[in-house]
Amino acid sequence: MKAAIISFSGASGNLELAEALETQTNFTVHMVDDQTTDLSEFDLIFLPGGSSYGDSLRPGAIAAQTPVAEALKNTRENQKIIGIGNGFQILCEMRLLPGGFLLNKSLNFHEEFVAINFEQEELVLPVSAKFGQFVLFEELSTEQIVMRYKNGSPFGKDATDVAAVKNEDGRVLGIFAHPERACQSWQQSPDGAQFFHWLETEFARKEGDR
Amino acid sequence: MYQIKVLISQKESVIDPVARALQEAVNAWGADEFSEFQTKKVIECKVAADSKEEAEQRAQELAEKILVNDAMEDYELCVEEAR
Repeated sequence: MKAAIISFSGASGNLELAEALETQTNFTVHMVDDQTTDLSEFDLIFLPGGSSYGDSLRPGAIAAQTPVAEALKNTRENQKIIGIGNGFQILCEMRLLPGGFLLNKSLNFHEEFVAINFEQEELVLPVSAKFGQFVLFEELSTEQIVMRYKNGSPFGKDATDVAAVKNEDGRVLGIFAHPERACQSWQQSPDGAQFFHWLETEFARKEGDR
Repeated sequence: MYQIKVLISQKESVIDPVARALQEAVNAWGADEFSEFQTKKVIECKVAADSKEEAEQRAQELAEKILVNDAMEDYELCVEEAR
């Protein structure tokens, strides 16, 4: 499967995501920039983490106005989109995922390894954000909620405990924790490997594949 | 030429973490006569337009397309002739 990683200006997570995908999956990874207007050759399109455009205006707001945004809004039925961290925030700004992100209750950047419920498993994954309080403006179906923080949002008690969501048709996924920072044996937690296995065998699977 | 000022604030239904932190700080200070804190972002720019009505129309388009996330934010517009 061909995977694109979009490099947004100022975002720091594209290289570590490439490393994670290359070691944890069989995807062929291509780096594209945010001026790209044609994503049609890719099966999977990743928006990595890391404060694109310095979180100016709102996290993800400027990235959501770049030329690649139009291509993301016009993907085909057999293409899937995955946003991690700031990538999730960009997809919310583009209205491809529900909800939005507010400044942390502490008013400050926060990072820690947290317990996350995912597919009847408990994973320990790092979160890292200044605008991490995720709020929802509509009811989601159970199928749309992919991960929940086991002990509530680590960013503030007013935020929902939802840590990863899909859109209504299931083609777009946003995950706020960083599995790409927790999948190698030398990283603090190896649990991200389980997420990448699910991504490759379940989420990315096309209709009729087995 | 017209001067545009856009004031952006959180919708009432959405928490404003800075406003809340300010209220807590003020309460801790003992000055509970202060209430209803609200933070706003100010974006200013100029727009070339043939009339104030056109400038207001374009300012609204700018706000709604680029500046404001209408799921979480409200905005006010001020448009005046540029000095």
